[in-house]
Parts: sequence; C-alpha cells; structure tokens
Amino acid sequence: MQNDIHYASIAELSRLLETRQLSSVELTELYLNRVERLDQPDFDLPADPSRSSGEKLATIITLARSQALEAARRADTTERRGPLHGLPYGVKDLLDTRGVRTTWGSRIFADNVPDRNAAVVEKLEAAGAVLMAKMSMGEFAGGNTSNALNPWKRDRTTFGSSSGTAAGTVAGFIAFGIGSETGGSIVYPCSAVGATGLRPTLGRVSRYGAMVLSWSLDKLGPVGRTAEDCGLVLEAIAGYDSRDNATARREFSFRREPAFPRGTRVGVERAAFELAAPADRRVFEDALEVLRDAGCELEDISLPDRPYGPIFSQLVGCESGSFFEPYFDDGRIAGCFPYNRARIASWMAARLQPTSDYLFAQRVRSELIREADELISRYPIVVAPTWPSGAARREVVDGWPVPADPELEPGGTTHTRLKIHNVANIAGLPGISIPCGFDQEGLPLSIQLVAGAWEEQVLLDLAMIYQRETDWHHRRPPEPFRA
Amino acid sequence: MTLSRREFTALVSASAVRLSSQNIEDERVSTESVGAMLDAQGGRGLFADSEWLELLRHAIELNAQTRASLRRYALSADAEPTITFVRY
Repeated sequence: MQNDIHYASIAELSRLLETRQLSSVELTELYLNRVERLDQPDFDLPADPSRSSGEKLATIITLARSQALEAARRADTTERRGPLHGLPYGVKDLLDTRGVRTTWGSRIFADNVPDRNAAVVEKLEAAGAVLMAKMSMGEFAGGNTSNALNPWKRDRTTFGSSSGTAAGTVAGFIAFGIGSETGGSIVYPCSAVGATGLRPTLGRVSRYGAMVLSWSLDKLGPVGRTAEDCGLVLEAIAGYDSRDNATARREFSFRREPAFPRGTRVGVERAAFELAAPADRRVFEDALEVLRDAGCELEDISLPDRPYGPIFSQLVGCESGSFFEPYFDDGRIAGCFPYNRARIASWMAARLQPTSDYLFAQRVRSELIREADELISRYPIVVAPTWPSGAARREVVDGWPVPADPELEPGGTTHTRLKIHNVANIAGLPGISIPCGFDQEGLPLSIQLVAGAWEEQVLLDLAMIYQRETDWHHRRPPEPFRA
Repeated sequence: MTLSRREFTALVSASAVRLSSQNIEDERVSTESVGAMLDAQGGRGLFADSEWLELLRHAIELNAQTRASLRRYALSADAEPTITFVRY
C-alpha cells in the first residue's frame, strides 16, 4: 500500500477499492488514525477561536469513528454502487447527520444530535460513501472564525466559512468534503489552502437539512483534490428535492472525459488580476497561458460597479434573521461566542427594518442577474483570481480571528472588487476554484472559473484540462505542518 | 371614534415604528427608539439586556447606512424582485 494514499484522488481510491487492493475499513482506519494524530486538539470543539490547538489543525469538530467504521464494514460487504463507494468523507458541520452531533460551529448546539440526515448525506449514503467527520466552520457560518488552521502554514487564515472542509481535504484527512457557500464560503477557503472546490448553480443541490444563512443565496458543493473529484461528487448529490423549493428538475451526469471546443471565448476580469501583487500576478498570468494553450480565446472584460455588498448584507441579514428567529425567541442565541454578538444583533436589526428594503435589494438583484446572463451569453466562461493573494496571517483579536491585514480577508473591500465572484453568487452561477501556483511564502494561489447556470460540466471540462497540464493540485503541505 | 384595545395597540406600535424609521433615515438612532421598535414587534427578549440593546442600536444604524447606499441604485420601475413564485 502506498504511504501517501491519504492524498489519492477519488478515482485512484475507487480503483484500489474496486480491485480489492484496499478495503473501506482499512482506508477509514488510515484516515481516522491520521486525524487523531494530526488534527484533534486536546479540547472539545467548537471552541472560542482564540484557543490555541498547538500543532493540531482542528479541521474536524466531530469525528464519527464508530459510525464510520460500521459504514465501512457495510461498504466492504455490499455490491459497489459507484466511484464513491467505501470512501470516507466529511461535511461542513451545518448539515444534519443522524446520530452524529451537528453544532453549526456553535457551543449552543454542542449537544445537538439530529435524528435525520440532510439530503446531501442521504444521497452520499445511497452512493455507498462513508460519513467520517463533521468539519470545522465559524459559528453560524460566520466567515473565517473557525478553529481550523491552514495546513500550509498554521499561522495563516483558512478564510471561511467552509474552512475545515477545505483544509481537511488538503491535509489528507478525508477523501472529499462538502462545503456551503452564500457569498464565497466554498471557493475562498479552497483558494487559501489549495483545494479544488465547486460552487454549483443555485438549485442544483438540495439544502434540506442544512442550516440556513440565506434561502435565496445558499449553495452546497463538493471540495476535492481534483476537478474530477468534484464532478464525481456533484453527480452523486445533485437533483430535485421536493423539500427544497430552490431545486430544479435537472439531473447532472458527469462526463469524465473533458470536451472543450478550441476557440471558446473566455472573459478575463482584468481588474481582479490587477489586485494581485506583481510577483503573484506572474503566477496568475501563467495560469492564463495554460488556458490559452488549452484553446481558450481570452478577452479582457470589465464589469460595472454595482452595490454587491449592500445586496448581500440585506439578503443575508433579513433571511438569517428569519431563520434564527426561534433561537432569538427562546434566548439561546445569547449563548453565542462573544465575537459573534454584533453579527447576531445585525440579524435582529434586519428583522426590524421595512420589508420594502428587502424587496428593493431583490429587485436590484434581478437587474444584476439579467446583466450576468447577458455577459455569459458572450463569454461562456469568465476567469479571475479566486483571491488575489495567499492566505494572510491569522490573529485573534477580541476573540475574533482576523488576518493581520483585514483587506486580505473576505469581508474587506477586496471581496467587493472581485466582481465576477459577486455577480456569480448573486445570480446563482456555478464556479470552480483550482490551484494555480504559490506566492512568495509558499502559500497557494487559485483561479476561479465561472460559467452560466447549469453549466457545471463546462467548468469541469476546462478545469480537468487545466489539471492535466499542471500539477499544482497534486502539491502537498509539508509535514509536520509548518508553524 | 372608539378603538378596541387591540386596534389602539396596533396604532401606537405602527406610529412608534414609523417614528423610529424616521430617526434611522437620519442615521441617528436612540436607545428609546430601538426599545419602541422591539416592543412593537412583540418583546425585547435578550435585548432587554443593556449591552445587547446597545449592540442592536449600533446594528440598526449600520443597517440604515447600508439601505441608504443601496437605495442610491437607479432601479428600473420594471424590475421585479427575485422572489418569483413557481410551481414545478
């Protein structure tokens, strides 16, 4: 058995299981032992992010050891159901898992053990995958506030909020993971740690059984080590669900052999590339060269200024305020981590505002969606840096993890200047983040490809071609993980 | 005109919210206004605590600035909100 099997792709692991060179129980034990050795701090999670986990990465809130081994034994003794059969995975800890606690990153729910599975977990169970871990996240998916540390350098931010999912995948703790994104929470952490992450079209994947930040913005999607991993997982979790009003009656059948017509027009959001420091800009320019060699007809584009920040703020504030209403009513929300109080208050403020303001934001959003569709009709793919720099240093101030330079964190003004990213989230468009190199300090950099609604295969095609020509996605953080 | 107790409460509550909203438009929100808004919508809950109330007061001010910024967007009169009701 290879020593670095924990870094293998889904296709590689699947082949080993299928040919019985490896059993699901052996693979699960390998991951469990690795997690216990390198990830689990000596205190219970979720915890105040100011607590130091020392040399441990703290990407996992709950390790479902006994359930995972039971599921692995079942996988080893039943007929294979597909490429995910027998593979251990983790989900962001905002997805309900029957019999395994689900905390939403909050000590308020430290003892919450659901009696149902989220739709995504149901689907992965049906595909024979092995639920092994509930991954770290900031309390109530609040940006980069989790305990998870960056495997490339432990003093760096993982961004957020699917921090644990992205960092745990890159650290070789799980075969793949599930994250969620409202305004950047899949692709940003993937960029910070060098994972490949796919934000599907809004409505592609059911959110039944997931904590809500915004019914009109939330998406669930796969995080893997390759684009092919993401395609395989998306195929398993996509589909209509009568329990989620946003889901559409569209199937997704993943084509593993990429087909990307030469001469396809790809828009380059030039202003986003210019946000990068000169040395990093060279890395991003090299990535564009790879796309050009793959047959993309690159054209610089510029996007208009739009009130992205206020729209997100309005939609997320009002919708979170509504979803969390029961926890305001029973007073439990007061037990949140101190750093999160201002955010909780902002949800209440949104509940008190006139409804017409929420509707105004949704009307502006409609115009932005039309603009996005018009843009995509001319450029089937738009590319930009997922984030224009490597992960900034993580510090904890007043219990709130912040990067040394607040501008280098989603939430600062850099975020609103990544226009295609904002447009995509507002318009519910899919995007994929793929590693494209490293900055001067050895921290990963990534590009994001954005396509039209329901065009995940187009994204995966180009991402797979990119990853055939490069090996950035195969790079691994040095062990022991750097301080 | 005689008002029932329920109608009177509704009227006073609506006025309080309207007054509070006017203050918010000026980006100045008093603790009293916030208290009136909370009372109008059913109770103060955890915001009965002065520390939380102050956080909420500040959040309302910030929210007002956000809304004002968004309202500067030149919205077409034809724009519908993205809340279309669809039967699949």
